[in-house]
Amino acid sequence: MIKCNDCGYENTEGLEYCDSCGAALTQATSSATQPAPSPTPSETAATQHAAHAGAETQAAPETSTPQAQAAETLASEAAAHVASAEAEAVKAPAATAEAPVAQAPEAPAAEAPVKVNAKLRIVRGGRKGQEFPLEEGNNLIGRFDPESGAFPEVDLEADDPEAKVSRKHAIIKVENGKVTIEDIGSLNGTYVNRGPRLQPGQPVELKNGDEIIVGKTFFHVIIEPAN
Amino acid sequence: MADPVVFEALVNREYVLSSAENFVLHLLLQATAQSKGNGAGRRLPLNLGVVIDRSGSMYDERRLEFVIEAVKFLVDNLEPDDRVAIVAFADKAQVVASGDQIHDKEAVKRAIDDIDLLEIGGGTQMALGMKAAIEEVKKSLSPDRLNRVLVLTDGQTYEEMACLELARANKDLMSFSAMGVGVEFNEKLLMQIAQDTGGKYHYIGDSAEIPKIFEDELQGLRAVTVRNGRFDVVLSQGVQIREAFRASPEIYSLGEPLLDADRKISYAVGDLEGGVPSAVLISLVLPPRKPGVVRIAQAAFHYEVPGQGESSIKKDVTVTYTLDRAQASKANGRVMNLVDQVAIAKLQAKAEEELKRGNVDRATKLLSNAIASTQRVGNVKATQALSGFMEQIKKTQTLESRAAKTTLLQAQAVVRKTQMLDPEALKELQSSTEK
Repeated sequence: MIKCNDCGYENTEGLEYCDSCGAALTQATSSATQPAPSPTPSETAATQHAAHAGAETQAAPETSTPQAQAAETLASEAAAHVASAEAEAVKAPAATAEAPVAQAPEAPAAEAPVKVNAKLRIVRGGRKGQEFPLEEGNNLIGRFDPESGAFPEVDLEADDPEAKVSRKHAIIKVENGKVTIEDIGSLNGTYVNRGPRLQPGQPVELKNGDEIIVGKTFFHVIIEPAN
Repeated sequence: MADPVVFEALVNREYVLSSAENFVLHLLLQATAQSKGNGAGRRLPLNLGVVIDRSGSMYDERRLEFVIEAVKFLVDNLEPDDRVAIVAFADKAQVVASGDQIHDKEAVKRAIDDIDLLEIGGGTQMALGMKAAIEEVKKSLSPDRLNRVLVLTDGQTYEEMACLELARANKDLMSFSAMGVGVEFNEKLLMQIAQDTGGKYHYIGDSAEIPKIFEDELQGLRAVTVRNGRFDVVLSQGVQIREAFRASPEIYSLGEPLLDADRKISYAVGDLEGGVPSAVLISLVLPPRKPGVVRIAQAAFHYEVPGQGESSIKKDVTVTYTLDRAQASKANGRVMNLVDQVAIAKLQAKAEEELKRGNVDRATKLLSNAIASTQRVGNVKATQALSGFMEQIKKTQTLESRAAKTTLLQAQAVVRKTQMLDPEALKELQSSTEK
């Protein structure tokens, strides 16, 4: 579906103008449509991971050692991820090419992906009430720093003057109605509902109303169904 | 010798993304008949009925004077085998000149001059006028003639439904063109009469334009080379139809599309003037599919060449589903240009609806989106007309004022007229769609 920038109405793919208000729809507002027949799970997630990892390995090493080690581990993990994703992606077209042209579409194609609107709201440590909308796919939480290749979707540069949030701190993934958070080797840790510190590589699912702590900043997680 | 008709069935995207969702695809069906003078058929004799409003208001702004001038011009430009009957109406209808009296042009013109002497009252009973004209046209009716009723009015008529029903009941025998002068007439009624019967609707803001409009009608009739055109589309399984619009030479909605049991839908487009494309733009919804070539529809254009009988041209409409985003992003410029124009017409109509319900803010929003589009496609006239309309609406907050109604009628007229691309722009668009 394509969300109208003007009025928020969700339009069928392929439309050039919003059905509700008539504004021109730009293709940039189209939510990521995964190729249906491909058996690869979130190909784009893997490439994003790789992009982050790739940037990290190219950048100047982080000042603190544990973080650098974590970054290296992540980089090699991501590289492996990409390699396997690429291999699977290569497999996919071959599988679909075998299928005869006139065949009826597969059943999975008929399922519509679940859409949610997710966001974080600061409740302590920074601008209280400040909201950060989360996009479909991966959202990096961290502090903006081009030198180390940190371009976070949730940028806490303005709300974290004591720099308790790592430049690349955690990733929140929104996919098919499910929201998860994973620490990617932060210095001061990520906590969900005052639980034990999250370990890198072990994502935890988030529900509407959960509280997360990133460094010294407290957030409420808000997840609502779209429309 | 060249084919009498060129028929094209074009989609806005030849390559579509193989994804998990349904998506919209636009299909343009366009038929263009050869111009006269390319050996394209002989002159078709006319069989016309002209219906003239002689209500009291027609004496304002010299309206009746200009109509008389226009009809006399028409009479002067007829050939011996043409037939024109003239009817005037107010509270009653009266035949001013019968079709077969045309051999004596001077007598007919004198009768037209005396129209204001007729004792027919001062009201507006258009159905009576139409009925009398229909009877006259039937007297010389022939499939080899161009049979048409021209109605001109400046006001609201009694029994609007009777007028529409008369037109619809006779549309297989003759077409109806309707001209509205001033601001009092019901443009929806006149548009419907013309659209449903293959005729033309004209908005005449300034009564001095009346003679020119009659001349346009005559020229259009003289230019007909192909008759009874009809588009037929059969949709493949899984393909749905969302909406359909006439896209050329005028833009208007074709209502709720309904497929018959064979998944077919038909659009009659009437007679074709040489060199003027007749087009219908259909919006389809396609299902998700794996990569490959798929036929989504079978299209056909049926028509008649006078003296040569019936013919049809068939085209298969296919698309290629692909995983290649770059290929799927290419669009056919010509089709997209019409999609843009249709979108503007839709917004103008929607804004009107909202205004009638009293939602001025919403109407203004829709109009400003329409203006953003007219600016983008470079249609200066449409931008001005829509902006003028929007300004009036903001001022008066209603459609009730004279100024608002005038700007509305002007905006409607401009937005309805398909902007034909000049040859340079057309070349540019066609090269951008090279395979």
